[in-house]
Amino acid sequence: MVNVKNIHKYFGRLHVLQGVSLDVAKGEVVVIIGPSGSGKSTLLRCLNYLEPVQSGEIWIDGIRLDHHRTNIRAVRAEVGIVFQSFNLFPHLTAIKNIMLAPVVVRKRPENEVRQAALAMLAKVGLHDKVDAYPSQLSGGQQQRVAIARALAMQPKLMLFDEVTSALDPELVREVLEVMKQLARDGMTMIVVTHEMGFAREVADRVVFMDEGRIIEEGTAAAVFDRPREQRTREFLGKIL
Amino acid sequence: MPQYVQDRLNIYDAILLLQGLGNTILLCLGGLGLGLVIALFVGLGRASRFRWLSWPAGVYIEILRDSPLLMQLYLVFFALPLLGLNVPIFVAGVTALMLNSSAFMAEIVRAGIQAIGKDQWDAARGLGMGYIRIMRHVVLPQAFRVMIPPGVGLLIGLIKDSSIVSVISYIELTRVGQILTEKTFLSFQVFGIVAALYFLMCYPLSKLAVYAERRLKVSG
Amino acid sequence: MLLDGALTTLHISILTLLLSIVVGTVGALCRMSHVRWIRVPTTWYVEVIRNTPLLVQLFFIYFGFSQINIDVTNYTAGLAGLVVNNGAYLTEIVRAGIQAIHKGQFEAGYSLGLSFRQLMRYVVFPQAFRVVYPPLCNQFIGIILWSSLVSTISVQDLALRGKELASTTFRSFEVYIVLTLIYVAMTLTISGLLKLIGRQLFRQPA
Repeated sequence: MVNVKNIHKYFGRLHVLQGVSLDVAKGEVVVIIGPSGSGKSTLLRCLNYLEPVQSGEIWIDGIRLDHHRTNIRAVRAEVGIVFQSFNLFPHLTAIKNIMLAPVVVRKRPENEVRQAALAMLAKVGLHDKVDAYPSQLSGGQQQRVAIARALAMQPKLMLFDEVTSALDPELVREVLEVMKQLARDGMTMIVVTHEMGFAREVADRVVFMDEGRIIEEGTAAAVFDRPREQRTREFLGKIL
Repeated sequence: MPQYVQDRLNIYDAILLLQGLGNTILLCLGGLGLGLVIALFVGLGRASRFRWLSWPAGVYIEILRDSPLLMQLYLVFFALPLLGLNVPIFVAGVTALMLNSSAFMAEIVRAGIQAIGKDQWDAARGLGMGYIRIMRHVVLPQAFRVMIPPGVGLLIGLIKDSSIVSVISYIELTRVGQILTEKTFLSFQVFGIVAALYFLMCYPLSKLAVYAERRLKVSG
Repeated sequence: MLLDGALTTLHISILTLLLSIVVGTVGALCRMSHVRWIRVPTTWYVEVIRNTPLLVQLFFIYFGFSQINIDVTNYTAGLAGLVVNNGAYLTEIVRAGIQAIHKGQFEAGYSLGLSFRQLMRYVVFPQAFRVVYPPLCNQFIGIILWSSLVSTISVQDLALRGKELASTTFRSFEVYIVLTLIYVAMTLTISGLLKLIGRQLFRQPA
């Protein structure tokens, strides 16, 4: 499903990704952990071409991302991403936020999209907030709308960029519940997070990154309980 | 028509342009100098907590800001003779510019004064200072710094506004442009040069305003 | 007679506003372009207009048309001058509006597969409009006041009609006082209306 081959990325002189390779199979849930500045968010954002890479290859579902013939918009429609700062459209209600892309990009008829959007809102537990504006919602509710908005495009892959880091602690759980259900339903997910409990419960694989490189990967139990690398041990020691 | 081109290149025209430039500067200095004094008092009045001060100041400001400078110029030009004063056009021009700029400047003064937080007032009153002393030693010195960036913007506006005095035939820079264009029919060249002269006066000031604003933000 | 003039003033002001908004939007997008030979000349345009007087710009265009032997009505020349002038100020206003929008909005839009045009239409401009509305209203008031300068190139607006009235009745002072009050009344009414409209448009449940 996702094949990343030895990519390098620079921000000016800063070598942010130093030869990263990663393969994610369909239905797999991969959690990426690491200290800030390790490049994990950047890696995620390269996967839907929000950031271009300077060398290496990225393949999503058999399509190469940086090929000049690739229709980036079509690829982006198949890859859903949820951001740390939600990025909901403040001038649209919750349901309109969700409906915008399917109507405008996939050109589906409005009532069909509206039905689907209502179902999506129910799925994330917000059936009573259909016509609410983002300013009227709590952080956790906004983030769930953001997830619903990404899901409304029926993507093949979902990316989560530290989606709970900006939330008050008591609101984190409701968002993680939605994500766990998504994993159980078989969605291919790549999640950048600090939530180790979440990783233990649903991750098929955990990847530890530091300073632009993948240091170690394995099952959650393997990485958390029996880390092989020194740097992994140091990092886990600081946060566990 | 070669003879006109030769006319245009002649030195007298260049001198005329410089004279116009000089008169423009004179207009601005006059308008600014007197305007600032008025603005200080009107601005203080507008910021005052006494209705009988802030309301008339408000009316003064609104009327001058919500009517065209052209109208104000005509009013001054035609009104003053009725009061028996035979005014030269320079005085009419300066008066109109002075009144107009004083209104905008008064708002800048008001904003500057009101930008000084209540804490400063509390501290000064606690030290036993009266209104005038507080204004003189605490509020106005601080407000002055705040007023500089918009003040420079106002000066730029004044330089541009001075062009309007050309309509009462005062020989400032724009009027010279009209005269030379009538003579040579070379509008693009003549007004190009005129515009360039205004630009040379205003552009450095606009950079100064940006610089002043940046320094203001840095030192808090 | 003055009424005719007032209508002309309103007429030319509204046209100027609409055309300037178009110029300003294009200008703003150019100002933010990554392409240097688009961005830099646009910046020059804005700086030149902002640092030279409107009257000079009007004369430049008005007398310029006759210099290159193009026949236009005074109204058209005046309108052209006003649009060129206000287009520069609108460019800065629209640019500020677009730049006020959080970068994440662009990222979210692109990530959902929106094209540039779709992003602008559904996400950016609705939000930018909110930011832009107050300065836009101020600019419109400014246009109404400064449009009086077209009287100097013989456009029959309120200012010129007033001047004619003053010279025919020989009661200059009273006429100009009335004229000034008419402008003030127009300005205050229109800005009040615009504020009301603004409050209605941007009313969101708190």
